[in-house]
Amino acid sequence: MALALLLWLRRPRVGPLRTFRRFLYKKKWATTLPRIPCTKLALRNFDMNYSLQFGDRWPSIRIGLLSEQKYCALINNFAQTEKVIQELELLNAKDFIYESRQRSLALELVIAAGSSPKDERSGCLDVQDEELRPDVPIDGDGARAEHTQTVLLQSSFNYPRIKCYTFSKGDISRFSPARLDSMGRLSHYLMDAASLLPVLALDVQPGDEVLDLCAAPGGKTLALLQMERCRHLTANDLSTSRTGRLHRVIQSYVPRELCAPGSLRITCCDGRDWAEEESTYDKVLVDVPCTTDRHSLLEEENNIFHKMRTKERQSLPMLQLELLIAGLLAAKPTGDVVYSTCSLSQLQNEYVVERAVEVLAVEYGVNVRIEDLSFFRGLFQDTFYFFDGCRVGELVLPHLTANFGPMYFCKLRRIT
Amino acid sequence: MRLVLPYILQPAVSLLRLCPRRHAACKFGSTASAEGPEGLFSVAGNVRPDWKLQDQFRLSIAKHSRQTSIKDAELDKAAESFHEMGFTNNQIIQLFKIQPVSSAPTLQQRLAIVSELLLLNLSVDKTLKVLKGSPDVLKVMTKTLKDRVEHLRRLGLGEGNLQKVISQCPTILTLPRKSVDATVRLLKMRCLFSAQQVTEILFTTPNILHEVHQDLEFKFQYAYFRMGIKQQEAVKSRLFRNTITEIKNRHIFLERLGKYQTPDKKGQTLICNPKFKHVFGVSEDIFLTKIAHASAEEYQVFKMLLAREEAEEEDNTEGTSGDEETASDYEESDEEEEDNAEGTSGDEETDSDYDDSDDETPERVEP
Ligand SMILES: C[S@@+](CC[C@H](N)C(=O)[O-])C[C@H]1O[C@@H](n2cnc3c(N)ncnc32)[C@H](O)[C@@H]1O
Repeated sequence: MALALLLWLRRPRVGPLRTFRRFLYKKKWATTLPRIPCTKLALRNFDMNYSLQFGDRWPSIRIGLLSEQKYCALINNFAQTEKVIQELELLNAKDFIYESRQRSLALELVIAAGSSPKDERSGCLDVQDEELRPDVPIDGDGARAEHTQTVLLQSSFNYPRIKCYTFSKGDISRFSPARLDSMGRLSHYLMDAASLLPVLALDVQPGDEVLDLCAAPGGKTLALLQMERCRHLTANDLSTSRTGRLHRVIQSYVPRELCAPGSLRITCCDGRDWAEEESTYDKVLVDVPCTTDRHSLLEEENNIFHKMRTKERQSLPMLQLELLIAGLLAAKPTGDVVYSTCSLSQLQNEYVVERAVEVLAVEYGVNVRIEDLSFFRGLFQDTFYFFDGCRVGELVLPHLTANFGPMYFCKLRRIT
Repeated sequence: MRLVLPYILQPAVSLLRLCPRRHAACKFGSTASAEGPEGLFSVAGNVRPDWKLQDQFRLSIAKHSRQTSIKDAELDKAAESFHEMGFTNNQIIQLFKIQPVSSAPTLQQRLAIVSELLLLNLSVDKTLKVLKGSPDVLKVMTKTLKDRVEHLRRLGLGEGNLQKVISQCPTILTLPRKSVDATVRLLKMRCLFSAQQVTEILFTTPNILHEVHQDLEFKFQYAYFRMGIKQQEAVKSRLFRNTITEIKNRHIFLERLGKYQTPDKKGQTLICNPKFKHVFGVSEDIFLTKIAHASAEEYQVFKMLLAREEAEEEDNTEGTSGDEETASDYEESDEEEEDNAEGTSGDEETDSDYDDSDDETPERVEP
């Protein structure tokens, strides 16, 4: 398998090898090596690759990446938050998930009133599941109407119990830092709102066995816990120090009883080895390490574009592929996997997904279907800028007026 | 058009002295109170009684000046002189309405300044405009005014240009020579503009004469060091017409979009920069649609973000360079160049960057 992967990596269809003439420059052999900041190396790299990938849209993405990003405040349902919520609403922050639910409900009502609910159901979050859920009887018109009713109820109930406040497009206000309540729990967690989309896409159902393969520092894990739907959640990360952070985050947000071994397990191992524990999970989140585009442009420290880390950076797609394969193998047949990165790079996004599907079929005889998440674009268009050019999966683009992302996410369903 | 103003209806005039303006206007059924005496005089000619005209003159004399009693004869004589200079009645009224801050020029002073301006080859219209734009010019002594004009001429503002500058920036006539000289010295000595370039700057953007020197110098330094704009380009692009905030907004906007790069020592960039005059010499609309190719919403948000970034950078006394992506980074660039581009320090190196082999080297001000 490794050989096949290597061969694939040797022929990138788009990438640093193809450059415009104007990007070429002479090398001067200086006695002292130039100390170019990693952030500039990153920018140079992005300019080369992303201007090809995004064409005219690159400048607008670029300036977003180079300007202050937006956050959301994920409300901690386990803390006393009335006051915080009141304050947020006074500041004109909106719970974007709630808002989009209201919108889609209104839409559904219109659809339900109309004749053919089936054609237009793409407005609700649970469409994908609806198709497969065997317990919904569809026979005759009466049943159809009843079914529509169920869809309505389910979609409203199936929106997860996540409250997440954002400032609307064009509003550059900031959130105040989290506060401790009387029980010593923090009121909210500040994160990129786009990071919630992979979690929403996972669509955890009550009673699901869930794996978060690369979990630290724990933003998405926390969101998963807020839903209170997982029967059991396993949160894993390779890095010991980052797993420590994950522990601390969970301790400051989640009541102890919900962290009992029966419901939550935090592990610290190489996600690529997870394949050994196969076909166990209903839902798997594979939020892989990537070039963290935004971070790489802003912070020198720990920058993946450091010359010393070139090899590591170049082998990222390989690592990502292996992690996704491990995640897919860890999922039960009919289980769902969401793959996500915070990079714009096709090489780390679509190519990894497509290659994983191929490898699973050819080398493991496992069939995987890429799920359509395009209805997310309609659902959350008021909050995010979505890219419409992904072959598979969805991509949130940074944009000055809604400066979230980048966030790529793709949902895969294991068929066999 | 010349009008003879006979002394008729004397009693009415003296009566008027006691009348508040509004009352008078109402009583005599004129349109004086409507702030638009055009109507009156377009039909006036010699048909209407002339006491009305004189009345208008008197009433139009700015309140402040009215306190010192002006004799009717004096007023008539002044009006006649203005007529001789080519003023219409309407224009005389407009002229009388112009009032400098906290001062009441005598009629003689008004006459003197007006004739001085007309001697400069300004039309009556332009003269009025100048005085409206800068009423304080009426306070300037004729000799001083002559001096100042002569000085501007010596700075290279020749016939035509001088008039344009005065029309465009009438307040220039209220500036003492010393202050003009100080600005000129700053441009020459600290920003290393040639005498000719200084003239052109004065011609295109005379308003800089009113600017605080520190701001002006900082503006230039930002353009020179941070953007790599040379003196000649600064002149041609009308750079100085923009405030420092506008300059930064447009520059950093383009830079982050990837559409502007600070040239390296050899003046090279990896991308093709837009012409400076297309960046700074155009309206915001044109700038966005033709140069930046970005939406107005994006630019609005960007301006707010940048303002906040700068404010926070100022708070941060560390002065850590906030702009993560100054662009003059080449493989061959050495560390000094990097520093230079970052705008962090390195006076010694940057000084050598000047084209002009002048000994005078400006000091860097940390942005
Ligand atoms: C993008 S971050 C995850 C962020 C996290 N999901 C959140 O929302 O806060 C990727 C993580 O993958 C971890 N990682 C890197 N290599 C790994 C591997 N081989 N197995 C498991 N985790 C790995 C890194 O330590 C890092 O914490």
